[in-house]
Amino acid sequence: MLAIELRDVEFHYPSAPPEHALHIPHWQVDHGQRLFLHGRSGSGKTTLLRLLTGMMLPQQGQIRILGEDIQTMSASQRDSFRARHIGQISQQFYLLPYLSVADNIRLAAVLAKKSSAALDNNIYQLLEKLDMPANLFHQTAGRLSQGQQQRVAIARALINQPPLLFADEPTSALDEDSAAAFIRLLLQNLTPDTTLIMISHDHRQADWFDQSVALQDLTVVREDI
Amino acid sequence: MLWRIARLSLWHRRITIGLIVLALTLAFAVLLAVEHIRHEVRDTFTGTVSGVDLIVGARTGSSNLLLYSLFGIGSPTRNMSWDSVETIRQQPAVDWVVPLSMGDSHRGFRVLATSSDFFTHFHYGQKHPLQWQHGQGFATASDVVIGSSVAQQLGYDLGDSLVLAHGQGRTSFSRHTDHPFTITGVLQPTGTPIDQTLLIGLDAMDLIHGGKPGAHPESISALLVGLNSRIQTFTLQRQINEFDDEALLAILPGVELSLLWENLGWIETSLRSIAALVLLSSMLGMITLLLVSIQQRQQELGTLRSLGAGPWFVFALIEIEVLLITASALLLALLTTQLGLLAAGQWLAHITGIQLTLLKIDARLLGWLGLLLLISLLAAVIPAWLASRRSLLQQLHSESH
Repeated sequence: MLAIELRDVEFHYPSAPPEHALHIPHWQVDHGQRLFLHGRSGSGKTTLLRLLTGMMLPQQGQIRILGEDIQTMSASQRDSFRARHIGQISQQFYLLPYLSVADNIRLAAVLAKKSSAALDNNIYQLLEKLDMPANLFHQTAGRLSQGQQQRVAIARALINQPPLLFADEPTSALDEDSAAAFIRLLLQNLTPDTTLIMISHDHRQADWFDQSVALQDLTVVREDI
Repeated sequence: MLWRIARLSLWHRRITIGLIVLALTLAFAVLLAVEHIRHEVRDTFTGTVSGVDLIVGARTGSSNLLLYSLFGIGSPTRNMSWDSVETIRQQPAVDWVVPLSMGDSHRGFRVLATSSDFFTHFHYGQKHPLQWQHGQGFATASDVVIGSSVAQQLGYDLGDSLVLAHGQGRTSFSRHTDHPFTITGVLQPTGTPIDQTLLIGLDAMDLIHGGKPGAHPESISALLVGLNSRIQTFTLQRQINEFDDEALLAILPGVELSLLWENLGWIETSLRSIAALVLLSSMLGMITLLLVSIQQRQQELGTLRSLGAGPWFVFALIEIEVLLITASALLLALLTTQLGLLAAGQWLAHITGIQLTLLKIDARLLGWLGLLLLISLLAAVIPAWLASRRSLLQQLHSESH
């Protein structure tokens, strides 16, 4: 079964020049695949992830995620679908600085309506697996170091055990060793059937993944856009 | 979780939020105080006297008669004769009369000379009789009864001696030192001008102004009249107003109090208008600050949206924040108003004769609190709607290039 399938997808920002338009004739990703997506800066990697998460919709074409056509969903259905099925990690981690480590992770579960009596226990276990010191579980996220914030962001993305995980340039601000440590940590904590797409402009990280794809190989240039 | 996020997010922005709360607190305090004072003044006015069917005095304006006889404000243009008092007393329709004479004072508090029937027939509010805190009414021409505020503010108690002064000023050079009085009774608080009054017998008033012991005065300031039947009120009023021997005026205190209150309506309207303007400007300030803060919170709100929070989640978050801000401001405003009433109540009572009670948690106050809460929530609808509409798009836009 396919985790992701795109057919003749076309997207452009209304205010952006035509050369920034994204056109993907066909692309599919299998379940459980760990895929490294790279491309030059401004090529549309982040835009593609936003299309895959349903944050934005293409002007044309079809996007099927986990077998569901996200264009046919209402906005609130897409919000709910994203919360339940997709984990995200981004370069800036986007933690809520005033919430504790545990609350930042709990929030993702609550929004996915996966809150349960065992939730606190699951959060603590996940943080322990990510080598997060226990004394930081109730620390506010705004007071954590960058490395600690990375771990919380990973835990938040994994707490709902999503079938899809998107990581958008999570290592761009890290040195080579730290980036390698981050990827290792991420891959160690994934369940086998989780599909991972990690975006980066650093080709050297491709070795960690099952498949490496350059965005320009997926797209075609449309002269008429 | 939504409440926790709202609470912690507010605390995270506590300086900005503190300013909003402060502005709203001041606006709500002004509004609550104005509304409370308006009710207190009206209650004091309408409850100054009850059970009195007519007030009679020498012909003057009806407001003037009402003000000097009940509130001790102003003075009669001239007195009414004792003969007229006797004539009215003998009317078949009349059940009782209580003469009032005034003109003296004690350390800024007015002195009211009357008969001992005053303590039987004078009622206030919903026909509450006067009650004793200590002691009893005056029995001799050297006895004085004092109102509760006089006792409290001057530190007087039973058995204390005092001297009256001629005239109603705080400072008088003509004091009746040859006729000291002894306090025989202290009245319970009534919330009426009686609290700021010293009461002596009519014979005592006559005596300190050169009269003979045991004699009645030649004239008095006003007369309270109670009738056997209220049906006869208008008949007797007309008779008195057409009295041949002396130009007199009889008024119905309830009607005059209502008319006077209506005449003071512009003050009430002005106070309410000022309070409404203060509230309006604070609401606009709150909306502006919310819009600015939402602009600064795009990342935070965008994070919530990207995690799967729908627009209604963001809308509810902003509304809950406003609910918490408004509730805090209302609590602080209640506290501020109570402290203000405690601090200024005595002073206001002394200079205006109006006793301000503290705010009571009753249906009216709860109604006001609910209304202010509702207005705040409605005022926040626009920023909340904008936040719910824009948060995700704004975040995406800020990252997109």
